[in-house]
Amino acid sequence: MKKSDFQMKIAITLLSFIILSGLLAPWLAPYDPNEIHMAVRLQGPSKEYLFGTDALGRDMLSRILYGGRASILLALIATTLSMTLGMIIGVCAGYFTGVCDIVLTVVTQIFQGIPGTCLMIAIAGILGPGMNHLLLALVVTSWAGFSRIVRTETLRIREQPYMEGLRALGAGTSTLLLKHLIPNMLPNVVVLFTTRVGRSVLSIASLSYLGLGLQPPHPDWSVMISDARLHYRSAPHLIIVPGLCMFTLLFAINLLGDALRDRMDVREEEVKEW
Amino acid sequence: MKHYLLQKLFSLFLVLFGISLAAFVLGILTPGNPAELALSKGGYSPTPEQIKEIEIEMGLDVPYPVQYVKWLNRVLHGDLGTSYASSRPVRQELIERIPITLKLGSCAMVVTCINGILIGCIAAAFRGKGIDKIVQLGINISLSLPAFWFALLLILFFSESLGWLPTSGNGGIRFLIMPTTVLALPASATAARLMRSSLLAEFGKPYYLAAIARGTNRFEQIIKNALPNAIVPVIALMGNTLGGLLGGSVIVETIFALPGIGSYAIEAIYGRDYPALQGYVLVTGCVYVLVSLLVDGISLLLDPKVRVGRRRL
Amino acid sequence: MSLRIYIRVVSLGNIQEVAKNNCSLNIRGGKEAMKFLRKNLLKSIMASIMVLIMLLGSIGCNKTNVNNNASKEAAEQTQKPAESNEPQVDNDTEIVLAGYRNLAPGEKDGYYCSKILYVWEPLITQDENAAPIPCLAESWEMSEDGTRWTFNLRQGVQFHDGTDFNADAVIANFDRMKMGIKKSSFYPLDIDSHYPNLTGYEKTGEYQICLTFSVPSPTQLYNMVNFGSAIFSPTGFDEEGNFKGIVQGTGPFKMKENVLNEYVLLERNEDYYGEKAKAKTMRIKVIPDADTRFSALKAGEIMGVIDLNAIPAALAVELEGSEDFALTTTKSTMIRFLAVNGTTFPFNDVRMRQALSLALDRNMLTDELYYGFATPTTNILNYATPFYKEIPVNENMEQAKALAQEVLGDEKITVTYLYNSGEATQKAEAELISSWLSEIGINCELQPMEMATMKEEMKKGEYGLARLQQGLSNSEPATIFRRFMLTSGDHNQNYVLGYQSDEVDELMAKASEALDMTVRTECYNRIQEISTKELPVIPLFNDTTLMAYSTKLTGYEAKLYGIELPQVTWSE
Repeated sequence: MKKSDFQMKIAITLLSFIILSGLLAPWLAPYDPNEIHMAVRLQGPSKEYLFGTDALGRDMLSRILYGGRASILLALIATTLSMTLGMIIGVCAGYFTGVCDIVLTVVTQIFQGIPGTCLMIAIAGILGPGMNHLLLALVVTSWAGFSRIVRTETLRIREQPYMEGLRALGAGTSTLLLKHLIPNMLPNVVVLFTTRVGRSVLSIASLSYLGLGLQPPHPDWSVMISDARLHYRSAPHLIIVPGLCMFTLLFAINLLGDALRDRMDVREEEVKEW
Repeated sequence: MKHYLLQKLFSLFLVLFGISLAAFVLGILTPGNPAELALSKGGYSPTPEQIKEIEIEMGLDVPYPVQYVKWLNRVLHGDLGTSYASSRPVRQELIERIPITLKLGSCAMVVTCINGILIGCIAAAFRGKGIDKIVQLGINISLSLPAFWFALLLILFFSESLGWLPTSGNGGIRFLIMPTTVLALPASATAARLMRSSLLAEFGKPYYLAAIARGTNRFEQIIKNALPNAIVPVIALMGNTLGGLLGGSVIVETIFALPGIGSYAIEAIYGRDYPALQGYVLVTGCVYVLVSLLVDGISLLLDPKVRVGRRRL
Repeated sequence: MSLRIYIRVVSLGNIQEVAKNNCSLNIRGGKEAMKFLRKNLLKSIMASIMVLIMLLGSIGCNKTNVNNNASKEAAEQTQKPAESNEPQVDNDTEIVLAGYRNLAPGEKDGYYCSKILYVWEPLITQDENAAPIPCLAESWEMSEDGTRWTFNLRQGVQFHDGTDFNADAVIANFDRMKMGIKKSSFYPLDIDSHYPNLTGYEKTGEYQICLTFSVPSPTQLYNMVNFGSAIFSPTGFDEEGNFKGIVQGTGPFKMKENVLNEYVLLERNEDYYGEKAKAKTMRIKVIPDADTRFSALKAGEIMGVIDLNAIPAALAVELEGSEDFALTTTKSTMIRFLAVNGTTFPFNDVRMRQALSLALDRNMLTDELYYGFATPTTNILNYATPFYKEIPVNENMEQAKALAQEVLGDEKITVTYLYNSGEATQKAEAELISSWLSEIGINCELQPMEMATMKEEMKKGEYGLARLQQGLSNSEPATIFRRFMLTSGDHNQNYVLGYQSDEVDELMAKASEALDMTVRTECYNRIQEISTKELPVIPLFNDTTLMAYSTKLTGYEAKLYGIELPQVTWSE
């Protein structure tokens, strides 16, 4: 118990630091992140430019501050969307059984059977870069994971004696679902949500690195790393700083996921991740 | 047992159907007219009549379901279409590139198995001790390293600074060390974590307590008693791991200049080479399904109690 | 404590029956069965674990081997200079180089492989000043009216497959060209482009051919340089004129193996008629990523980089001052430019194109992003041609703003800016250029693309600006003018430049009829002036060919097109 509390504290501290600095970027950033100053290009860290400047003389610190915003936001939106979709389908399948269950389970199974990352790259690639396309690619490839878990949970809770009792007492379907069923599966879903956000961040980063995700001029950590490939030998700060930021973010999310798992006593393999 | 196999076969069929549908829909989603795209390569401007003609030739003038059936028929006969970029059959290009991805993937798979099982066992054996904590930290770190960043750091350090390993390209085992490391790191971490928790679950069980009571040595207890039971879910995980490896190979092959199907996908995307991309999705999908099936088979062999409804994530 | 855990398991723990099946049913269900199973399975599991462990061991061993090898190599390298008394430097060791693309795209390509591999040879090649010099054609003669060219071929030459090189072989190659345009990743194999107004070709002797033209063609030699007159063994074509099997040329290197997307293996042609290649074997690898290529060079896996974009300037400067590596540069035949969609607003207005050109600080671009390995220009003609006219580059932001305002008013306009995703520096360049353009009221939406895709998008007219490049397949400037500036020009149409100028049309017609070189030169000069004013495209800069190599090699010298591969060898 003590360990997970400690982990939780670290994770929350790190996360709030990253999110706050992203939110407050417009006030914290010393320069416009997109302003080009060729005269000061590729400078190392200094008093004026705390994290140095990039190949076009843009201030790295400002870009770092702005750089997490888009991907974190996008990851949250994408995960929320796929969670919502997954929950709706999972609950329907689990609660209404019969034909509905069979059809939905089959669809879920199909989506689970396709290697997600490959499909995601293909979708993002075919539709071309852009936030909407990125969201679509992420949601299409990750809702099934939620749906599957939610369905089994629903099946389990549905058979619980107290549910039977409630039904006998004449509780309506919506009351049962919203007031009793969903709150009961929340621990599982919260843990899954956390780990999935981490995964989405990583997916967005990979796509952006490949040039299929976020587009210029938005500053983004992974795009910054990809841009720095010509210069990182002489100016290693160009990949180290954004890489560390990305790493810290993912580390904090993973830590939080672990801690939540411990705390809510969710079995590990139920949310095993890929 | 029979029932299980039948159900397994049925879901296998469904998934294959889903993959083919996904690949086909990707083709429909394609911006631009495929007939025009196929014609206008090499600086040629087709006339509307020519486009119409080729549309009929390519069977694009019929409703989508009919197109799908025709397309599926061609695919089942091994015809994956012609690459727009190179004018060569997609099948041939994929056949040339698959061995490289398979080599990389199987290396990563072997490393993942070994590392996952070994590290998981060590962590479980020393539960709560320093070693366990370090392993847990290591697992979290491994899962948090973006592959492309890690790959660049490895190149910077091992090839550039130390000159120990080749930076890129296809070749002997030396060329595979870094790509495999990058690919296998997160997979190993996931496997190790599952191995550990799975072992820990075994430790609390009566048969294991009995084994302890019998007083055999600790190492033997773990290997002989707990591991055979605990390893089942880990092996089941390997099927999923492969999906991750296939996806991860895109980044790894791009950075390490390996001409496998991952980098093929990226070239296809940049070149809007949709038949190639469709082929990629089909092939990775099928490989994934087949390996999942294999893994299921192994799990079944190891543990006949794995039954219908065993959850795969 | 245990009680608490137990309660938890009951209340929250049976979260998923199935998971439980996995872990706990094994025992709870049937101890007996499990025992039985374990006995049987244990052996196989133990065996497989042993195998795994052994595998791990072997990988570990391999790793150490690798290190040993590497350090051995390193040791050998350091020893080499010390043992300089020994005369033996093994010149036959394979030399590994790398380029960004397939230098031998293979049978589907009109040329099979690039000229720079020295596998095939042209009738006519060029010197450092891009003037035509003999290769397979020893001498030539133009009739007085300029419509008839006679070429005397070199004697005693054999193709790699043993076929004799003679007038029949050359005629066979013409027949092949006559079959239609062949696609190529280098320059299209198009008889109309290499031999404009050709009416006939014939064998006039065992080692002599004769070309006839419908109009005077005094600059025909320039058209035929390198790719313009490539000659392959006539036995190597199928009925459609496509290659069957590996390419057979006459060059100092034979192609021994071609693994698409991986490498080309070249071997010295021991029967070469001229000075034989110095290296015995060469392996040219494909490493698409500039950064990876650079790493490979530094790590000693490759000894040099060749072809276009061999090494980005940003990386080349990192090699400066190093004793282990050297750079070689020369004028490049490549011009880099921004194509503009001249059929739609705002770039259909010449003032907007001028504003765009004036707004670019080309010196900043070439000095900073390209580290001086480029020369700013507004001339559409490359500086490596003998006909190049030096025209000062005009840049003035105030003037640009004024011109843009005339066209746009106070509005801002958003245009799509396509750039090549395959070239490392282009993204930064696009960001820099778009920052300048935003000052004259143009917002750019940057879109990275692969080259072929980009050209398709452009053809559909779905772009505003596109960053392209143009090489010279020969030194005849008319080729460039025709493609970009004539209404019917292929680039003018395919890039939807929408450029039209009666004066250029007239000048081109006049030049093509002129037998007198001074008249031609005058016409060409005037067209260059027009190109800088009316800007069918916005030229950015002339490239410098920049290549890097390990100082373990000698003879590595950049040429107008590629390096002289046969001269490359290990240094003493």
